[in-house]
Amino acid sequence: MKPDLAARVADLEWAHRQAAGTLERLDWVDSNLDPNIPPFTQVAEGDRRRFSHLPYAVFLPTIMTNAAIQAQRDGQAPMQEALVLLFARMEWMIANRGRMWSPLSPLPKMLATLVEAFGVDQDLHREDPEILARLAAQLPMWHPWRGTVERAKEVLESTGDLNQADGTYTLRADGPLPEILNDEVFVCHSSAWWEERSLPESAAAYRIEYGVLKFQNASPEKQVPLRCEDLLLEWVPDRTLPRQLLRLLPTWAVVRLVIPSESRK
Amino acid sequence: MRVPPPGQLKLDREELLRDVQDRLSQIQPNLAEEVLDPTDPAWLMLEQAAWMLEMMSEQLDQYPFAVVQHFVHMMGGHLLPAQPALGALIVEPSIEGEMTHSRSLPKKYRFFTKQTEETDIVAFVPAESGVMLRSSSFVSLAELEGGLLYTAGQPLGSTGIAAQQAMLSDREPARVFDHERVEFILVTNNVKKLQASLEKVVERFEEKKLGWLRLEIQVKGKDRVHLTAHPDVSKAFDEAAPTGLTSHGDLIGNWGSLNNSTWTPQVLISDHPMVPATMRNRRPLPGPEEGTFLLPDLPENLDTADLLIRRAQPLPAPVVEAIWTTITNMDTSLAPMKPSVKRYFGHSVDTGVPQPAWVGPSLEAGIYSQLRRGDVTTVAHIRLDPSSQLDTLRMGMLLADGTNPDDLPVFRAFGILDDGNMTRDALKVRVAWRLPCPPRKRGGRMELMVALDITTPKECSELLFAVEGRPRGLYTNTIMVINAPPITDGRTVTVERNVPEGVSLFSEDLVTSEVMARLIDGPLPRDVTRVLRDFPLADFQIEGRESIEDFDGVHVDPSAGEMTLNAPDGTGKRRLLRPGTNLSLEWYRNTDGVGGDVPAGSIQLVEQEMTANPRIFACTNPIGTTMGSSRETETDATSRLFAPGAGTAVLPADFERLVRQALGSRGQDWVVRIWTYSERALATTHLWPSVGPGEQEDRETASLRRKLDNAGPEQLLVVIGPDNSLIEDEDLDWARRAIQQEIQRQARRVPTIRGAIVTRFWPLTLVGADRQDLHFPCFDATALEGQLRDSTGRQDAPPKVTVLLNAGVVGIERVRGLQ
Repeated sequence: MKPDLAARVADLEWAHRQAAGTLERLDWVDSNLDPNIPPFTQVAEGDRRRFSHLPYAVFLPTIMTNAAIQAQRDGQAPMQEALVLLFARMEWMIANRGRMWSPLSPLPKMLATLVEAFGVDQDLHREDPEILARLAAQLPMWHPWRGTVERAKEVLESTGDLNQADGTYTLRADGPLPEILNDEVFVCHSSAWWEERSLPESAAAYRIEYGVLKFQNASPEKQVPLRCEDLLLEWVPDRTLPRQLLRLLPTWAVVRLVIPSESRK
Repeated sequence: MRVPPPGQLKLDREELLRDVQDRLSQIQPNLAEEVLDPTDPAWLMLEQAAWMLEMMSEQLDQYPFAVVQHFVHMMGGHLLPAQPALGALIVEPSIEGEMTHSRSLPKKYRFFTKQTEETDIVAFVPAESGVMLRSSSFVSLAELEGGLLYTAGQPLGSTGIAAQQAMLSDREPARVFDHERVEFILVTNNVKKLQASLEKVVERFEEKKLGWLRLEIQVKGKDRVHLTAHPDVSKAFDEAAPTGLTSHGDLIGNWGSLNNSTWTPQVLISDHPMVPATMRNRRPLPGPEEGTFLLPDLPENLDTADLLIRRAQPLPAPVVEAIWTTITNMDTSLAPMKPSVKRYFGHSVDTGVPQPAWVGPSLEAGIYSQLRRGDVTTVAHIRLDPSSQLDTLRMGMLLADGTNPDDLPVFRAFGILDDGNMTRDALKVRVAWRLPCPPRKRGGRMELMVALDITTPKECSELLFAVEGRPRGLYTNTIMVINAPPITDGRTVTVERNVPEGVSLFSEDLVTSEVMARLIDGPLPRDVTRVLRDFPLADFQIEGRESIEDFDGVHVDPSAGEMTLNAPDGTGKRRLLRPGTNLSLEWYRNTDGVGGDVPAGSIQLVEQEMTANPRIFACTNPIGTTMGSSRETETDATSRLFAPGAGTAVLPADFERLVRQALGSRGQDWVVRIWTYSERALATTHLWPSVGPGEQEDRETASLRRKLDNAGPEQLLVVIGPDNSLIEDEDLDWARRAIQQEIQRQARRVPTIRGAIVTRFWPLTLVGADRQDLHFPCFDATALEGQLRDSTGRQDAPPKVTVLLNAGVVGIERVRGLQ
């Protein structure tokens, strides 16, 4: 079916295809010399789409234009057609210059620097044009709220890394202690760390499960509670730890690791 | 972040022509020929057009950067101005006096480096006011350790500015005790009787077999008898070797002690070549009886005077008392007498190093024991001009470790008066400023120059300065200088309109309040910033009205050297200048930026007003000047400013941006990586360089590991350094202080982050791997194969961990055949 191009913005289409790297060589250029074709439009030729830029023929004497058009109809390659082809990429690039720093940038590699300025590392965007475009659209709104797990998940969703973070929970110390805290894994911390978290009634109950040492007491009042900067991360040993998530959390965040017990599993 | 370099939009004309040819050949197949007719006018025109296109695309390529640049400018971003260098200078006054700033005479003193083929003259001016410059020179330099006295170096010269600089060097035991003696002066009306009594006492003294003290009696005049006691360790062998020569075998020496004292002098067996090698420089063995010692297995005919060396320490005051007590115990009739005691020191050997002549006065004043502080104490003896009317001496002390300027060693000063006596109380010493300085040797630590003002009594002609530890150097008349020479303008500007009006000044890179504020904001000790706050920057006179000082109330662009009248200054204050006002541009200052960082010994020339008082004869800088930085480039400014609104730093990336800003242009191309506690605690990590089995970790890495082990969530790990070489120690030291200061500032907002461990970045090359998917620098060690090599050539297999903490892969050296 021939696409209805009237509802599409030609330069947006071009920018999108350029960003995706599908506009190679010059097959995408509509080299029709007809001076009545409006500037910067797209035409469908079968299942292909071609883009025409400025109708240069308008600026030439009519006799020359007509001769060139006639030559084109006769299956010849006039000089004017060659010029249209030659200038095509430049014209479209200029037409899209306003979008260069936008999510619709025809050169998404430029956006890599932009998203890194917002705090998203190269490891996350991987210079992938689609990821970069998604992040560029999302980050200005994300930035004021950065640091929360929900927002970090959104970023990971944009980068396709969400599956790494789907086991995270944020919990506050002042709320009820979650049940899964019982499965917290013992990780070495400084004595100051323990002092800041332990309560007078806290008592460890050491046991080995899954080959790791767990320490939280089954009795909630004897557990080492969470502080407000603590984040509980539920981890299934077969999965990779979401290291990238850590780059999207506040610098002061303390991730406490939970491996669910066999019974829970 | 970095604005992308141009190159993304550029078109290639040959590629374009090839594409056009391909496309046209679909219509006209004969155009598909490989080589078209180069004389074809149509093709010629196309080639011309393609060439123009290539040129235009190059211009288009500048577009993204230009957009950002203008955007940043619109947001109020501006270039960071050049920053003047600071340094310490030793000056030799030919006329003493107080050096002060003068707004009316800004060029009172200027100090210059020499012009060379490579560098232009760099000018410096005194940064501080109210410094007393006083004729002075070092006499000797000594060290006290374990109660023993050593000579520890000497002044660089005996006269001129060289005599104002004393550098510590290899130490030798002081020889000042070689001829030590104590004189007991007894006054009597019956000299003969007293002499006879004393002679009996001396005989009895011999019976005590002391072995290290000789007594002599001398009658002086009609009513005085002098009893002289002088330590002589060769006396120990008077009984065992009365001829003064050894016989083959063991030798026993007498080594008794005085009444009421157990003290005996510390001695070592000499390193005479005839003494068995195993005994040399060792203490004698205990003898068969109490009060004796043993020297085993000595050869024949060895002079006993050459056998023992007395260590460099004086007879303690209680021992001197014990000598008289012992004498009075032997003859109680002497007990009522109260002899006056005089002590003498001297040596007969020319050691080539000035000996500490202050030992006598300090023992008499009872402060010799007070000089000792800590394990080692350095004591400098300074001579002053006795005719001086000034009451303060400015001293400089160069410490080897400037890491913590607040942690100064203990120091004290005592005056030696015209009559040879010493002040019993320590003189008042004030720390004027502390300036971190670049190390003299590449790769060393930052040093610290400490300027001290010592208040001296009027009749004081010499000075004793004692400081804990071993400073690298001691200097007198040390002043702080700054690379901000005044420019005398002299033009008059008439305000023509009641709108902001631009005035072009004679120089770019001006030193303004903003520049000084940045300098003060840097990692400098508080006393230096106090000096800099009082430093006058500019003076513009207005007819009949209060002058404009230090650009107060006018806008200045220091980088461009432009001043805008009737526009507010950085603090928002605006000085209203009505049309017709005449503004006389008297003087202002400029700087050479990083060009002002000159090495030690470069500043040698002085220029001063004819009437200058004090008058300076010579100058030199014992250490290099530092802190100079050039104005920011436009690219750097864009990189710095092109970031989302700052707000509170939350993510590691936010802190990385703050660190970048704190490092400024000096750390422009460095890698900056921050590791949070969660990353450090949850991932398996590795510190480079790797340590093989049986190898010991180097000190720096071991120290870093210890710090990391004790660091909690409130500590960040900051890894910095260039991506192509190891960061210089000097840069690391400077960066560490700049980053700590920035983190402290942030801690006021985000108290959960309270400190940072700053360490160097090791750039690594991955050897023998063919990876296209790595982003540099790569800290992820999980997928690395091949070998890792650092810039020192050390090569190791990638560690079996998740994260490289202080190292990252910055390049790949592919295996041959895959390139």
